[in-house]
Amino acid sequence: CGLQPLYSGGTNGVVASQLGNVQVEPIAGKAGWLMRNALNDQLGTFQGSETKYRLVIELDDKIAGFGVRSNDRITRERRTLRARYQLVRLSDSAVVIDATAGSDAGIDVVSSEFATVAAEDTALENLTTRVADQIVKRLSLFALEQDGS
Amino acid sequence: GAAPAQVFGGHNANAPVNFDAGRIEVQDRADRVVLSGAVRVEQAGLVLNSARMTVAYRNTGGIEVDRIDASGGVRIVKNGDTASGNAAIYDLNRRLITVVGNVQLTQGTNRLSGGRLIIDLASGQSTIDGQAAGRGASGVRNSGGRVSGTFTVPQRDPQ
Amino acid sequence: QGQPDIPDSGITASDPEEIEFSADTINYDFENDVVVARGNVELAREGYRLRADNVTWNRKTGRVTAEGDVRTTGPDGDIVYSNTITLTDSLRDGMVENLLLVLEDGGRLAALKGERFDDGSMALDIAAYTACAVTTEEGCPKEPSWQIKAVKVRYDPIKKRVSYDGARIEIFGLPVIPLPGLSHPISNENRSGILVPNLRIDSTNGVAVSLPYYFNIAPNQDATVTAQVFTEVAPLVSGTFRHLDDKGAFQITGYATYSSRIPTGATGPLPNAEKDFRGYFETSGRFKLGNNWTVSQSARLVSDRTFLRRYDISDDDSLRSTINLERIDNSSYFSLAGWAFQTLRTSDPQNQVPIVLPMVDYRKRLSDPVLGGQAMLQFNSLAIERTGGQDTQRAFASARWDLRRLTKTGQEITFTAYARGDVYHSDDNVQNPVTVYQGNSGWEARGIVSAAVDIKWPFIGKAFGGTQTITPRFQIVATPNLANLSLPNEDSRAVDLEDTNLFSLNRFPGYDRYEDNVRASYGVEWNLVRPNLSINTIVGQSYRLENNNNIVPEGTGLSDRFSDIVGRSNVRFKDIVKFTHRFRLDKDNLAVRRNEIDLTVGSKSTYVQAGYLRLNRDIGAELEDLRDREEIRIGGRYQIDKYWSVFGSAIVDLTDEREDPTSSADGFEPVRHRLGVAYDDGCLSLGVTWRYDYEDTGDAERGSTFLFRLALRNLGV
Repeated sequence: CGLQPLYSGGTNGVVASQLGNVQVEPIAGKAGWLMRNALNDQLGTFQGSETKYRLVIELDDKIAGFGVRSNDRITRERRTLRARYQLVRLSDSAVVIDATAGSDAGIDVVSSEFATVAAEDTALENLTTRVADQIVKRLSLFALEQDGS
Repeated sequence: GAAPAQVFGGHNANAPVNFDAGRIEVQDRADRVVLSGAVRVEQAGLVLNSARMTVAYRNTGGIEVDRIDASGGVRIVKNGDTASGNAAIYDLNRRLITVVGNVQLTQGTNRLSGGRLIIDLASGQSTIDGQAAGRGASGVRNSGGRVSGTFTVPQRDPQ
Repeated sequence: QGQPDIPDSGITASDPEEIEFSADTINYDFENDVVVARGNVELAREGYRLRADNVTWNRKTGRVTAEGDVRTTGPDGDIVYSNTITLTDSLRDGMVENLLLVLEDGGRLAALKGERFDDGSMALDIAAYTACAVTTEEGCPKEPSWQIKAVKVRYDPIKKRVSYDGARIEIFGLPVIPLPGLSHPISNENRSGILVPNLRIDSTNGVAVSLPYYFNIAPNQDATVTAQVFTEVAPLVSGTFRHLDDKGAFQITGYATYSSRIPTGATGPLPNAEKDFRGYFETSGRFKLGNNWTVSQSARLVSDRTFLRRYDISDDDSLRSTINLERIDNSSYFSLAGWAFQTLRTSDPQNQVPIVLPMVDYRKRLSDPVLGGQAMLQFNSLAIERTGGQDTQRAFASARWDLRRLTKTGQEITFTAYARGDVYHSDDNVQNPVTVYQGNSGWEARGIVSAAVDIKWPFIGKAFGGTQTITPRFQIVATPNLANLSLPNEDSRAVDLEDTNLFSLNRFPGYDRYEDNVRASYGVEWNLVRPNLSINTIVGQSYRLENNNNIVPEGTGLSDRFSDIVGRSNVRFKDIVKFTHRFRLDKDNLAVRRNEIDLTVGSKSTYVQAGYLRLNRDIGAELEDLRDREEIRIGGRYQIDKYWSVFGSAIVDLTDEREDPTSSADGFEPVRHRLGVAYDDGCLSLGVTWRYDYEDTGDAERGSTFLFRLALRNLGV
């Protein structure tokens, strides 16, 4: 069914040359710092030199409790990280992508509340990597469309 | 507070009328006099100026003026109050002055503008409305010309 | 002869001592100094305008009488419609009959008679106020949903306030609530005043009416004080203060009452259950301190374990308090934080609850590459103190190096090296009920070195009318054997293998446990994007050279050489269907170990939502933390017509002995359900919610709660 590598040609393939060096705007808070690092790491592999696009991101990070047991004890939490992102072309500051990405992770509420807090932090680190990967995939599809292939 | 000065009101329409004009043409058979060229008519302090004027009179021994038709930049002045318009008719028997066309009335600091002004010298009432030139005899409202202007609020000692 | 220079037409710019006129005819009686204007008359003076069919102005007495479709507007935009009005020639004060005052923000005041004063305020007799539309979209008149009728009404445009004598609120024409001395702000900026009371009935406290009063202290500060009066218990007073400025914002909330407390174990009030003070305190805030620094805090404290649930303030079973000083810039993150907890769970002793102070975390990304790769340093220290339990201190420093390359054939290869040194000190370990968490007391240390290679090879192609991407992924992680059980375990307790942590260097949460030995993780992600439809599926597993069950409890999916199979799939169709399924299948018999399904179908106003959770991990009983359970949550809302909607939700605990041998549940134990109907037409919202709790904990008994909601637009809402 006509499959071919997304990044064929490597750093001078279609995606790398189209995207170039995407400038990721700073994002607020610890989640924003982690997300920006994850994006810079993944976008860095394209080794683009020319900066043609700017990526603006807004994060929504929620922890919901459920798994309510008989004595109304919350036994399971879920951390959901959603990102709303816009890719802006610097030449005419047109918004070429305006989309959302997101994922969630389950956390067991254990007897030590601190262990639950630590598990929530680790979940956040894993989620920022996962959501950054979704965003870079979507940017790569956009780059291919630009090239018309 | 002082009563406002009598304006246009209480005017003695029977006082003698004297004319002054660049050219005077008397049409005896029509009992009419046509004046033109910066015409000025004065009667007991009421001054009427206009470019042309036609005076209709009856000859009953002395000259009795019945009616004055003025047109062309008509201006009527009486001790500080002025009315102006394109044309005016002064009916001395009914003691009515009608001014029509781009009418402006200034009474002290009050200023009014409209289509037609009727000054009733007997009652001292003057009515200004948006009627265009020509007498709307039947009072039918025509294209609704508006009257506008300002009245000052008299200073009253606060109640 | 020069014409006097009079402006040709229209109303001139007004000088304060002049009234501008415009009419069809103006009759000016010089003698009596009376002006009579007829025909669509318009008057204006100093920002006050009047329009009427006929206006008579006696300039001697200064009386202006206007009749016929009269409309007066003040500079603040309020319009008074009436059919006769007599004013002074300031056009401000005077008597009005049969008037309708339309306020600038949409509210309406109608009255038989009224007097308007110099400052624009009005005193109305037999008046009615409403903020609702009085005409339908097509413009035909309709009865407003609510209105306040009163014998006397005073409207103050400067304070934007309306006050009533002998007032009563009528809703849908029915006299509902008499409000003798009601006064309320009418502008949409918030001003002090009574907020609309609300009503609830529940089996624990009887009928409850809460009366909130709102103080608008300053443009950036406000406070709300609420008194809640019950039929069966003493009143509950609560207050909230909020502050906002360019640096940040904070809020403080407090509740207090005096009532009898029922120990959570007992059933029903004990004869000698003494009454005493009960209350709850909460604050939260965040402030920017100069560049890159922010401090945020949130603290919660309650007098006893059942207060929050007894007065339906919150369902939380543990209260967190934290303070966090952060410095964030492009290349570094620093946090100095503290945590304290208060447990409300019936069985947990408070002296086993940890206090964490200080917790330091500093991370630095080196800007220039090291050996071509990206380097990140981290320093972290932690001190945990328990009044009646184990105390642990920990500090570690680590360095991580990642080299990412993109090959010609499109493979993303990442080489990772990780090194970390940990130092622990702990005492009173024996007081820790779970032995595997204790670790050795005194000083312990650990060195960690890891190396990993991770290869992702995404493929793309057209399929099913859209674009599909398939990304196989393969990772090898090698870590020499290292100490785990000899160290205390404070933050690696919530262990569960998931698709989001399958490819992490350390699949334990936190830092206290680290997986060693050599393992390979492999998985594939499939993604289809079509207009209006997107499907995404991830499946993965890992294989270890040695089993891991010495440090990882059986049942977490990580203990044997082959891990359980984990995955996730989600489907999104337009904005109508959102389906997410997360699972963990047993490696041997593909039995479902973890199953989490979330489904939302419908639009924003009419939808059904279902959530299912099943944990069947059979983790040994000695780890009371990771119990199994099964639960279903259903919720829905149905928009009947433009105004009415119904909603409902239910939580059912399906856990039975299959999941949890210690539980006596029979597999169908509803926990709580909620049903409600709501009306909202933009200016009146009305709601009744019935909630039934199947459980009681202490003095928060089971039973029904009825919540009545009434909100009137811009009436202190």
